[in-house]
Amino acid sequence: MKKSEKIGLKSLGGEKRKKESLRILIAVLVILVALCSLSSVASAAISLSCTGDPSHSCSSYDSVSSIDSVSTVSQVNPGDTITVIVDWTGWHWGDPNHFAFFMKLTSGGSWEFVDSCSTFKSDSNVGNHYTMDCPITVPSGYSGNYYIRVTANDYGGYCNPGESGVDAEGSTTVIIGDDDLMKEYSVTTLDKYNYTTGFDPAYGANYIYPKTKYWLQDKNSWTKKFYWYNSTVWQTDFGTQTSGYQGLDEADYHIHFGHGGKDPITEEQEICLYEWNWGNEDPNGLKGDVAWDEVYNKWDLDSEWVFIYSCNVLNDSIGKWGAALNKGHMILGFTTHTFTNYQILDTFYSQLIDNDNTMVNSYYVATTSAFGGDVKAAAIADTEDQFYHDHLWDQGEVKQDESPNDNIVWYAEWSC
Amino acid sequence: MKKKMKKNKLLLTLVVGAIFGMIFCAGIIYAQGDYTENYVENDGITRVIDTATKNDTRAISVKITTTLPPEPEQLPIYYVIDVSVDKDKAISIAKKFNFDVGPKIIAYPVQPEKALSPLKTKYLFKNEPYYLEIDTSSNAITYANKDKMMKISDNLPSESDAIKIAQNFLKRYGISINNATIETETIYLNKLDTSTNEILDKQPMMVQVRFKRNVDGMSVVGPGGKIIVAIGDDDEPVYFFKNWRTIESAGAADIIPLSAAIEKLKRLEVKDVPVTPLNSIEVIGIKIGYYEDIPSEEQTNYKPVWVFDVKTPASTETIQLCVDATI
Repeated sequence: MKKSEKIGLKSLGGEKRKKESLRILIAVLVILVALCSLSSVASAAISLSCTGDPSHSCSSYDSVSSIDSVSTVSQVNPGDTITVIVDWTGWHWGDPNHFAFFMKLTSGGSWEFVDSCSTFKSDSNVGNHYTMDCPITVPSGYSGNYYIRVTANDYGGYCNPGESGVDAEGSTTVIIGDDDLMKEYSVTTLDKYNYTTGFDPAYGANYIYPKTKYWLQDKNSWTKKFYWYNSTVWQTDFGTQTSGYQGLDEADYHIHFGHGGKDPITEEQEICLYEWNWGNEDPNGLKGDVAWDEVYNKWDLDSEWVFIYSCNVLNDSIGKWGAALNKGHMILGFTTHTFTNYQILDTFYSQLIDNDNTMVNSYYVATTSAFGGDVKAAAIADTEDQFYHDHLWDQGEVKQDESPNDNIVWYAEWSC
Repeated sequence: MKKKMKKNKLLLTLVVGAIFGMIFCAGIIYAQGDYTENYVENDGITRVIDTATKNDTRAISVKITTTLPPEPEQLPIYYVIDVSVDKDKAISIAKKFNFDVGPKIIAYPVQPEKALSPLKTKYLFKNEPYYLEIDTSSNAITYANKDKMMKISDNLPSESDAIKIAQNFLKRYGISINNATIETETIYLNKLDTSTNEILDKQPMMVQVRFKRNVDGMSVVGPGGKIIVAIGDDDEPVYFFKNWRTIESAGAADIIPLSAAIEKLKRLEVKDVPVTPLNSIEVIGIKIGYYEDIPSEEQTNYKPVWVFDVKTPASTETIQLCVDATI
């Protein structure tokens, strides 16, 4: 046999082995792909409902091997119902599993029971991965950074956190209450103007600011963010900037007192500042005016309620000014002229604080008792819920900020 | 030649422009220099102290474009006979409204910053979700169902039916009113798209019935002299407010001439000051009426006022300004 023939035979045998190796490799790959897809099927979470109201009964039986994750919204107001998403691994094996929800301040304290529920699904695989959306109502009176803890138990009822017999536990955190957990107010008032008549004796400085301070700060522990008056009131105090100093958007409640009216040049209703001059003021100047387009979509930080005690600002401009409410809750103001009045703020704050009345109800009572029928007041809310349910902090429910902003506002207007 | 002239013109324009620019810049620098003396620091923001030294006169120019009314020499005046309400009287009123607990006394200073500021007092009766407030200075009453005020109503009466319901409500509580003008208004919750300014939905919440007082055929102006009954779902009166003082004759008082009243108007010596710029006003109507004050004011008598319907440059509708008509 020639050498070349020998080489040819050898190479033929090598090709055969190569083909066999390729076949084996393909088979292994197919098996691996099959295994992977099987495992991915096994790890896909199965939706499950958690219903009912089981009582406490912590048993030594185990069905939940782990609570894999607990998640919910980052910020919530007392009284709101939120969805807590719980992912867990385990099985049921013929009887329900029981879950319970507890809360405590992240700074310490003890767990307080909030809600419980049970799940059931006929299953035989011990490693099922389940996911469930659990609606939890945050109790009123809670405020601050809180843990939400979930416990799981198999037989009988639910377990408390850390109790002997608990199958598995998991936690998440939530901020309850105000965006920055501080009740802050700010005030701007103008009694003097450079080019037009003012208020003598001073009404803003003598009544608006002291009464707001008395009811909110002296009687109810609110913190003053700022008080600016006359020529120290700037456009930027109204939250016209989107970064840096945010003015009223850094406080939960803001009240402004001073002239409002139509700019004879732009024909827009605006808040008149110290240098307001019948439209001849510098539109970009800090102390001329505040128009709706300067706050459009801008109140998205801490602001909840803004009371504009000025004539006409909302006249035919409810949508324009209402658009400022990005995450802010409400604007209270007037669609006609209004007058100085020595009682309106006492009535408004007393309704909010002594009567625990809603923001809209309090404003309705305050305006109808303060003015004659020639004055028209209006309340604009960012959401329908806020219109019905928003109270002052610690006086009742406050609804969540709207997110994302939907460009819809809810308003009512009435003669006083 | 033409080209050369054009060039010269351009050069001249540039030189003049540069001079004006320099003057403008110098002006700005000078103005900034003025302000720097008055800067204050507060919360990290630099502000200019209020240095207004202008004579803060409130004189306004008044233009009359209406026929002048007759000027009476004298008109009746009245005493207010329920100037203050004590606790027992408040309880007897509350019992009529089925409140049997309370009251909580709410007292607050008129001017909180002043140490000797007088206190105002209200009696508050609660029976959730209902409450009743009685102002001790005037016997003004506020009654409400908090849960049903300003809420969408599926079954709201017509405005004419609401008047009957309101009248029956007043009758039930022994509140008699004579010489009143009745006005109605349905209050809606509107859903508005701010990007298009289109009202997408409109739902009725309450029918507000307002009884506005007249005395001697003249209307009562100001925040008082009125009763509001707001009717909600299923014909329920969900809000009631009464600021209607009891009065009795106190003889007659001399009335100041209209010219004197106009002088007061020019000085803006008005009962309530509007919160809008008022350099000039146009008077389009003049009449005489009576003025009733806010609930927390201890008003001891009822006196006539000159009432001016005015238009202002910054306001879209007529504003009513009142000045005292008695000497």
